[in-house]
Amino acid sequence: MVLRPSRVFASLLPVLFLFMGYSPATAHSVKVFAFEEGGRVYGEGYFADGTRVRESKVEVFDREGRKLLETRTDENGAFAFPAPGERNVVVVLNASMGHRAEFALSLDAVKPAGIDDREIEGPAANSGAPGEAAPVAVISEERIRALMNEVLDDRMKPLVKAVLAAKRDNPSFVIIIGGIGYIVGLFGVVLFWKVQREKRNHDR
Amino acid sequence: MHISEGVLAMPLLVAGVAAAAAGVAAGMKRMDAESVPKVAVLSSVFFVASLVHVPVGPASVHLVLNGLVGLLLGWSAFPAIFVALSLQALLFQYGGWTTLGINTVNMALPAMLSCYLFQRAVRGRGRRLSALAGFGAGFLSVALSGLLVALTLAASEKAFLTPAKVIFLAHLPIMVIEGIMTSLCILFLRKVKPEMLEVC
Repeated sequence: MVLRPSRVFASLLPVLFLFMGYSPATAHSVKVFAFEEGGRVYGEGYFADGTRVRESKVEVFDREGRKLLETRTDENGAFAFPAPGERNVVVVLNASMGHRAEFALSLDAVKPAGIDDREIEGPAANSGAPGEAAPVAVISEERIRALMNEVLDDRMKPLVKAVLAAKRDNPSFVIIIGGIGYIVGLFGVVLFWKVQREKRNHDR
Repeated sequence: MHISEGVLAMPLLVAGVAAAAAGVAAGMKRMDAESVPKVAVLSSVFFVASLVHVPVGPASVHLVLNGLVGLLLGWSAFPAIFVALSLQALLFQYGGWTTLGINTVNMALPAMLSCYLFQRAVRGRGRRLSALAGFGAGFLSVALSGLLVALTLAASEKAFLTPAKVIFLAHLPIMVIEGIMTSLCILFLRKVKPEMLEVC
């Protein structure tokens, strides 16, 4: 039993061939993300390579698995629906060919009932200038909470988008090389085991 | 063609795990020490191939290369593809852990079959016939995998023809590309290392 290096080398060529054709874009895992803003839930669906999941079914369930509503993604893989009464929902995207993704969303930041957006607008415009703050006594606790929710929503939006975008990053080169390393190592163990066994059989 | 978590029903998943375990065990048993490096390399090929994608319509599909893997490994295609799929699930979140069994069977079974179907022609004397057999193996393995995926999905979705058509059409370019790639690899190996083609 001899392991000829030339043989291993020849079999390595297809791998090199593949690497030449490698583009950093990848396919075939599906991701869906959603966030709430101003009483509506917005979301997007992607394949791992960034291709949008177009015109596919989106279902919204509560935590017990009851279906709350159903919608579809548009040409850009985006979808939106009015925030349901339920606080904790699961958004399920069904792309074609057995692809499916889930996203658990908790709708915590909900404005207290009875405060409409126009009421909030006035003080919100002032909030940027600390010197001209409205008299404290006028603002009820509820309004402050609503204001803060709105300001935070605005500030957080780019952050949320950035985090979501980072989540659908393509597997990096390092991860790919790492995966190949795992394969080589694993089969190294197999080889060790096989050689041991053959040796034992041979001795007998 | 990686089926995601939560699409299939439990009995099918269990059946998939059982079938995959049997295939992997058979492949491991038939693998001799000398062919282990070859299995590792082709496992890597399969692992990387899924990153080369082609956008088709609303979905995007990627290379599978199970024809090439099967032609060069025979039964060992099961452990090779199982390992590659596990790492794809772990590192790329392709497919999923519960569907690992059924995905392994869907990819490795056609691979193994293509070995039995095309091996003789590939090893035969005629260069042209060999190239043609390589193309056939690459083309047919992807087509059969697509068929298996459609059948698997049909069991839980109660619809077969439409998804099957979608899968077939989406993978048609892949089938042609893989046919050509497999054919080229076979021609190369015939010249350089013909004994590598003696598998099943």
